[in-house]
Amino acid sequence: MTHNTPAPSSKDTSSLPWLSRKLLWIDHKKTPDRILYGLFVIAIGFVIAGYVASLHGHYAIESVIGFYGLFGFIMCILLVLVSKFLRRILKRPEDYYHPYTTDTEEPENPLRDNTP
Amino acid sequence: MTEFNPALIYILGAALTLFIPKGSLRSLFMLSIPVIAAVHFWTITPDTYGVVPFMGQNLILMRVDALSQMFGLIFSLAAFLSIIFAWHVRDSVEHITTLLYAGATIGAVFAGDLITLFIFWEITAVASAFLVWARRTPGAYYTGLRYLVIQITSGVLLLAGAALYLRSTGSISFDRLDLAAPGALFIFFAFGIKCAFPLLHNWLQDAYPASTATGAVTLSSFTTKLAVYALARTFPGTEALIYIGAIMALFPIFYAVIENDLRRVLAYSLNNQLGFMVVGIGIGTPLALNGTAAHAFCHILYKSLLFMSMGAVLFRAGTTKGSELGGLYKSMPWTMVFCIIGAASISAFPLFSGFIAKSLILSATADNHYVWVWFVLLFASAGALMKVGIKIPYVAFFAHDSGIRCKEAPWNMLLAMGLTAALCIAIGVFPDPLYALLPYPVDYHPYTTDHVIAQMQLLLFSALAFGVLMKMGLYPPELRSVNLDSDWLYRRLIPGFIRRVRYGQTSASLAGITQRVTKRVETLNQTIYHSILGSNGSFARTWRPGFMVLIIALLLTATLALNAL
Repeated sequence: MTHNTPAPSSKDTSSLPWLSRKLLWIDHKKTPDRILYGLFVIAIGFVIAGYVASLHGHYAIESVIGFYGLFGFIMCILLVLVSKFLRRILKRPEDYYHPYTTDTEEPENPLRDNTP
Repeated sequence: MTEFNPALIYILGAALTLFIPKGSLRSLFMLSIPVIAAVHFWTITPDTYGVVPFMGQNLILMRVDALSQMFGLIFSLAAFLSIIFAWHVRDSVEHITTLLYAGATIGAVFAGDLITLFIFWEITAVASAFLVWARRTPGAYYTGLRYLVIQITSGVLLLAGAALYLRSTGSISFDRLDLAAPGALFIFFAFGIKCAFPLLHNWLQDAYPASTATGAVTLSSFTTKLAVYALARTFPGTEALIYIGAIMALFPIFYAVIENDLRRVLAYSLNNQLGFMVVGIGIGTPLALNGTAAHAFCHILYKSLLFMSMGAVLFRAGTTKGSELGGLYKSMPWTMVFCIIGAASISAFPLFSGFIAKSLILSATADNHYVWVWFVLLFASAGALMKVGIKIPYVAFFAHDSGIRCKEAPWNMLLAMGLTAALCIAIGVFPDPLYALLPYPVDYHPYTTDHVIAQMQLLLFSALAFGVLMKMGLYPPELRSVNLDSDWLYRRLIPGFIRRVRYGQTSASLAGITQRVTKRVETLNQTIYHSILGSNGSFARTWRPGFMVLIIALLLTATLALNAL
């Protein structure tokens, strides 16, 4: 895989678009942790809100405090773990169907212009 | 006769397009066609028109009612937006086939009998194959051929079903059918192929990512939703569809997690979204059918938006493979914003379009007491956030910086994405105009406290699960690879077998195949054994305390949940 322009040094951000420069905090080392903690606080907030609003639906299980949150959390962990296992069985090299596939082809785009 | 099928406007427009020089003038002309056609069918009083006697039967070229007008409108909108997105394209083949494809889809929507439907059904197949070929590489050529064979098979099944149905009932009406009626099963599977039923689905994930940046946007809108429309017309309330839909909603999400090509991830997620619509058709109550129609409407918009954003990435960065991308927010910040709006819509965040449509189907499922289907759909909703809502924007625009620095998407792509994103939010905030378009009267309020809190809990904790897995390094990394799916059968197994037969090694090859299968099973067993119990397996490793705590917490909550049941 070749790209037309090498990455400029990470300190030089003046050439980036306006909106990107506003978002550079995303690359900060602590940002992922902050987002995770923030998310956790808001999520717990909605569990409390559910308790206060005494959530009820069609099924009894929906009234369990934080049912939706637990369900989402557990199922997503399961989803990823099962997928990881499936990958062991299903994964093949990228050129498995070569040459009858576009997977191994470099996209050719006549209008592509990569200079920022 | 002014009440002709709007497909004629597209076909005429496609022919005239050839005589207009390539450039803005041609694009402007193309843009006017969906508008003219939409005004045409929108101003007609609902009725049947264009009844033509044909071999002892009556063809109904134009049937206008609430359902066909609504699908006609969303297909026109999709055509309009994808033409803006493809404004810069200077390829006559792509121009003409886009118009024919969109036109034939709308024509099929207004078809009142199975023969008219069949003709438009086949035009969509042939026209859309050219959008796959538009990439003009050997790989795209072969992919397009596979795609075309499968699409034509669907058409042949439809014709066979229509003929059998005509012979036994003397009718060719494109209306409610009983699955037990002669020929109905053929028609069911004809629609099923285009609707990407499980095991019949793989043409979708095969062909869409092989198309051009612009072609995939067009492809994503029409074929599958036409099939949803056809199923909603003919087989509402067929119970088998509920279970087919539930499987459709479920299995693609596993593939989406491990798939590397982000446009193929979108194709898998498209498949999963179709599952929701098919469940709605299977339930068949007015609420469920409204849900299917509303979901198809919103889905076309946010799925196009996501395909547009990945198309823009393909156009500028040259690839959509997750393993090669990352950090693109530094180069394409607006594309990132629109992508996130599409992702929020597909994840059904409140105030985005997915929420107000998916709620209808979930409520209908719960109302009719399909408990397990309801659980599956809830899981599929959580999975939708995981595999598309977070994965697509994260892998393409954030994650590790791939070092790719390119221009922002061109103005026309940004305009198309901006308009689509605005529609996604507008529908989410003000659902009533969309509800007014639905085929049945609606008395439904998506924004109740219960709904919003439940949905936010589901989504936030799913996002939290993503964050936790990421932090623990358990989330599967993007790897340059392909994953086996049902297409393996006709791309590997059968061709390999035929090759052997041709070289006259049948008996020897049979033994060979058995040997290879045994060896495969053996290797698989060993892999499973080693991954769990072997010296490097999960049970032999020293687990981090945090992970152990997580597992125990999960077990405890599962026990708690089971007790509550």
